[in-house]
Formats: sequence, structure tokens, C-alpha cells
Amino acid sequence: MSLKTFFVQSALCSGCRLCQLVCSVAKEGIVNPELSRVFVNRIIMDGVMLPCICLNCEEPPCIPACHRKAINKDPDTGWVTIDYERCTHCQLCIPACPYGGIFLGPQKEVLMCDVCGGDPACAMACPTGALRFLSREIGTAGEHMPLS
Amino acid sequence: MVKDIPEELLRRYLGGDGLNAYLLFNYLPLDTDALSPDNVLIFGAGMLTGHCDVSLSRFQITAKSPETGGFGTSNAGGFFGPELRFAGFQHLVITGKARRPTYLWVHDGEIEFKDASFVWSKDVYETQQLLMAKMSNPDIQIATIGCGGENLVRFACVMHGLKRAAGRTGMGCVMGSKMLKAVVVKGSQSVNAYSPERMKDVFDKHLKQVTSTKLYPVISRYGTLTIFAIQNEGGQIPVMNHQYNYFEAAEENLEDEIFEERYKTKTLACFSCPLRCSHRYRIKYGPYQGVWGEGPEYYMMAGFGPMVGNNQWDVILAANDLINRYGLDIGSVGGYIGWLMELWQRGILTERDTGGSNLKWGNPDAIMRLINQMAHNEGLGGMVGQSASHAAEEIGKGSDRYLYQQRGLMHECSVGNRASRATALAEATTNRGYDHLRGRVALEFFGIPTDALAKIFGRPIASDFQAWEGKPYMAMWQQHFTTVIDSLGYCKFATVWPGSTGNLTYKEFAETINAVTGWDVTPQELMVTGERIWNLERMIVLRETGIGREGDIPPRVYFEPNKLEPLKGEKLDREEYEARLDEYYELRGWNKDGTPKQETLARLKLDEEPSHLI
Repeated sequence: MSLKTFFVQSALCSGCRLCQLVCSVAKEGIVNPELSRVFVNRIIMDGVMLPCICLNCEEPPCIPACHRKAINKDPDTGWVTIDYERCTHCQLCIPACPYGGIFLGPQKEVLMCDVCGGDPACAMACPTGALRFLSREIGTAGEHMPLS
Repeated sequence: MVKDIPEELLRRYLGGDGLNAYLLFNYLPLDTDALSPDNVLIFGAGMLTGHCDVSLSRFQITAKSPETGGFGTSNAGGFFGPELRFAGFQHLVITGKARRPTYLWVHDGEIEFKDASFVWSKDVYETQQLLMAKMSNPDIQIATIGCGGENLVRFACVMHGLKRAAGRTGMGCVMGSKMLKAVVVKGSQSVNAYSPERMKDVFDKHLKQVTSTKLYPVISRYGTLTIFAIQNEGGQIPVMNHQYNYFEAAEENLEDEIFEERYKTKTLACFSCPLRCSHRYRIKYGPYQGVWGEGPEYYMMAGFGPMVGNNQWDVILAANDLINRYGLDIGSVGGYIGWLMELWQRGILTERDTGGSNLKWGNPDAIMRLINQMAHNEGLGGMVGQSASHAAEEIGKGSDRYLYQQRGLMHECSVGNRASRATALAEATTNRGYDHLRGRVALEFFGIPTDALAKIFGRPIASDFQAWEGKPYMAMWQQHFTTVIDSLGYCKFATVWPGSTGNLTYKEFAETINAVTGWDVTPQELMVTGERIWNLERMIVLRETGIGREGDIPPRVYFEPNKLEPLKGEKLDREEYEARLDEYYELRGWNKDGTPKQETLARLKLDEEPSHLI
């Protein structure tokens, strides 16, 4: 099985935030875009829509930033996740992420994508193809992603 | 004061349009002038707005209308409605008047009054930019007025983002009269569902449904601009203030593909909407070089194209930007400019009346000048902006003959449906004035076989849009349907309203409602709910204006023949229309004067209104 991760093509993002909606339902059982593990920065005056999510880096800077060793990268899948048994929500991982892919919830809780175990709800719901969950072998998003 | 909405009321009126109407009927004191502090301005998110389903973005603004003196209500999308829900509110009821420019800051169960002096007189774009900067938060959602509302233009609208507009009936004018510049919302609260699992399943199903239709690839690329060619080539577009029904000059000029190639810079969507029908644009060359904005819709394209005799995209886009910055209603502005241009054509207006402007058809300078005048209350445009349909009395000289309005509301500048039956009847009998958003029956235009129509409507309906059989029922059905949509918070383009039979209808609405609330709502119950809200709105109209049947007759031009092919010679026959109106009233359980019968009100549990349950 080829390793998968997220590919973001912000030019295709319409800013609808369906990804945030379904994420909060999938992870929390309620609708609250602020509890989502993906976030679309809507720079509305400029018309720029930028989806941010954990991209499961090859060498994730969030891992050394975490003093509790609560963030792990699965060697088999390549996915980076938080072990909430260990996490103290100290937030040190948030500025460490170069992609702005770790978030702070309304209760100051640290929120990070866990790829829904390999079948992420956000990518399934994205109507434009701006957010896709694909094999890493596809290369860079802009050059190789099929346009929707 | 914060109050809980009793479940009984939610089930009876849902939210959005329905509960807004209930709140207006209950809170508006008798004999209130629309611009008096006693007028009640109500913001309402749809009952499902913000929930996890497709296209649940809509909110409704309701008040007594300063444009008509009757029922004022208008609906918009974007992100404001959902954010209001996340801030912990479904409806805001605003009365009184501030002493100085004020904005409301609504966040997580709190409402604060804030000084808006620093954004007063700023345009819609700038106001939002400044508020975001002031609050250091680009993610707040703002409903604001421009200088149209500040200057009490009777048809000023409320804007959200760059183009989302609660456009018709002058809700921005009411905001201006209260010195309320903006309502700013931000929330981090959750919207809970009775059954999250069921809701997720329902969402998956509905998403698949609305992205599998024939409409989907078209609307997600061109938005409503794609309607233009259908309407124009079908001979159903108002040209030069309804004098003609086809605009040859638009061919090869006003096309959706030209917009896409030359102007479009980005595709955008409202909250939770896969349809993404919004466009950003920028004019790259020519006299309007550098103008940018969002939109336009078909409404703008037709209203500032054929209606005013213009076939230049640049002019439409530049006017769109001005109108959105000022916060004016496209429907009325386009209608009044078309009217003034016809008065010029007929010699009723001259340069002495216009302050030197030449109002010949399609003159871009005249169009821009009139918009500027309306917004700033100057000159001829200013007079029209302050007088609305009473402008005909100011001008005199028989000018009223060419002014097409119903219930005081300027006829929509982009709608001309005299050749159709269900649509003309449904649009003409709406409560706020002629209204395609409540009345357009797209299903009658596609020649759908009678047996397929019978399946949807449960009775024989003529397949031909020019035939009358079954059309009064079809009109009534559509009015209830659109009312339920606006009360739940769905966008009409995700429903069967635009004629896409694969889209959502009552069955799907009930699925979402039941997953969210745990109720056992059926499509039949929702149809009755739509009827209840419709009748309540009629009660508001009758209480505020006393106008019944007379307001249900479309303007004079509808009874005059189309001048051009296609559909040359087509018109509504007055006698036939009156007979079908009787049939429509009978189906509704109304008297021949357009008032609901007592037993109808009792059947709909409206006989005890106003019930003051909240």
C-alpha cells in the first residue's frame, strides 16, 4: 500500500468550510467549525482561501517541540498524531508547525488531524478537490493533482 | 434580553423567514411608521442554518418595509447566519434607535453595543475591512449598510461580505433609521444534533444528491449567469423597462463564458455549499480598469443589461461594484433606472430634470450617475431613492403609466414572465410584492410529462408552461415550498426550486430536521408549515396595508403582448387571470378579496395570533 497524505490546492478552495463541518461531526459528534482539525483561512477581502491541515511531514518539527513526547509518526503509514493520554495542551506544537496545521479549540485544547484512521471525512466532503488525501508518490499538489 | 424559543414555536414556524414573520406580527406596534424607532428589525438564521448539511447558510432580515409600507423581508447567504448560530443565537429582534452610529457585537451568548462612528459613511467593503482590523479578527462575520442605508434610501439593502445582500424591501434603510451601521458576529459554540450519526448519513446522501445533478457542473462554473442566455433566447427577459422581451444586442456580448474568460478571478462559496456559484472579478482594461468585486448574478446581468439597454459587461460589473459598496437593492435600482430611461425616451424627462444627464438607453455615465445620486440623495436619482414608487407622483406627466410596481415594490428588473402561467401567478401573488424567489416555478418550463408532474404535485398539471390547467395549485405549492426553504436556511439552488428534480425537496428537509431535532416531521407537515407561514405573512400585509386582491395583480405590461419573437404576442389574458386568481384563492381557503377565511386561519392554528409565546 502506498503511503497517503493530504494535498492542498488552495486555488481550488471555495472557502465553504464543509471540511470543518464534517470534521467536527466526525471527531466530536457536534457541529462546530472551531473544533475542527482542519481550518480554512478565509482572507475574504482578498478572496484568498487557504485550507490548513497537518500534512504528515517526513520529519515533523512538532515532534521535537513536544516536551511530553505526545506526538508520534507512525513508521508504517507516515501519519503524525497526538497521543491525548500524554498531551497537556501546552500548545508548544502549534507554532512549531510550518503549515499552521495544528489548532487551538475554544477550550484551549490542542486539535490535530488523525486522518480519521485513513479515510478522512474532510477530503471526502471537499467538493472542489482543494483538499485531497492521496498517495505521497503523486508529488506536488499543483503539478500533478487532477483538476476537479 | 435573551429568551429561549419554545419548541412548540420552532415546530410551527421553524426559523428564518417563518419565525421572523411571527416575531414581526407579535412585536410590531400597530400604525408604526417604517422609519420610526418603534419599527422592529429582525435578523433570523434558518432553523437548520449552521448544521451539517449542504447549503445551510441562509439568514433572513424582516421589518416593516420603508419601500412599501408593508411586509419587508429579505434573505441572504454567506457566513453570517451560521456564525449567528455559533454565537448562540437564532434570532435578533432590534427595536428603538441609537443616538449615534452604533454596531452590535454578538459573540458567544453576549451582545454589546459599540460605537460605529469610525465606519459611518464608509462603504460596505471598507466598513468590513476596518471592523476586522479594529477587532483583530479576519474571521468575524458582518452584516452592514453602506451609505445607501445611512442616507435612508428606501431600497437600501443589508450587505454581508462583498456581494451577499438581503436586497429587497429596504431592510438597510431600517438599519440606517436606527443608526445601526452593522451587526458583527463571532461564535465558538456548538450546534448540537439529536443524532450526529444520522445527520452524518443524511449529509453524505444529500451531498451526493446535489453534486450528481445536471445543474451542478453548470452552476458551480457559471453561477446564475448561465440563466441569461436561456431567458434571452427564450424571449422572456425584460428589455428597456419591459418594452421588449428579447435583446439582440446581448448576443455575443453578454455571455457567461465571456465573463469567465475575461473577468473572473476566483470561485467562492457560501458556508457548507458545494455549489460555489459566487465569482470574484476584476476589470483589466478600459475606462473601468481596476474595478473589482464579487458577483454578479443573473439578476444584475439582466437588470443592468437589457433592462437599461446596455450590452457591455464592463458597465454591468462597474455598476455592480458601486451598488454593492453603497448597499443598494439591484432589483429596485435597475428597475428605477430603466423607468427613468423610458421617461427620457418618451420625452417626459429632459435635461432640465436630469441635471444635464442624457438618459438614452445604455448610457454608462447616466447609469453610474443615477446610482451615485441615489446613494447620496442628490438630484433626480436622490429623489427617486427617497420616494420609491411615489417618485411617479413627483414627476407627474403620466410617468406612472411606465412604472411597474406591486404593493409599492418596484418590479424586479430582471424578471418578465408574462408568457408563463404558474410562475406569473405565483410571483404576482407573493406577499412582499412581485417576487421570483418565492414564485418562480422552474418545473413548468421544461416540458416535463404530465404523469411526472402528477407524481410531484399529486394532481394533473399541464406540461406546457403557457397552459393554465393545474397551475394555480402548482403556484401555491411552490410558494409554500420556497417559504419552508427560507425558514430552514437552505439555499434554493440546492433544492428542486431551479428545476433540478434530483435536488432536495420536502423529503430531504424532513430527514435533516428529524436527525437534528429528534422530531417525526413528515413532508406533509412541512407543506402545512409553509402554508401557515404564508398565511401569517398575508395577515401582516393586510394589517399593515389593507391591500388584498388588488396587490395580487401583476403590472399592466403583463396583460400586453410581447413585441418580439420568441413568444411574440404572448401575454396574460386579464379575464382568465382573474378567474385563475379566484381558483387560487379557493385552493388557499381565502375570500375573493385576497383575505384568508376564518376557518383557514383556524385550520392553520393562526386564529390566536398574535399569541406572544416569546
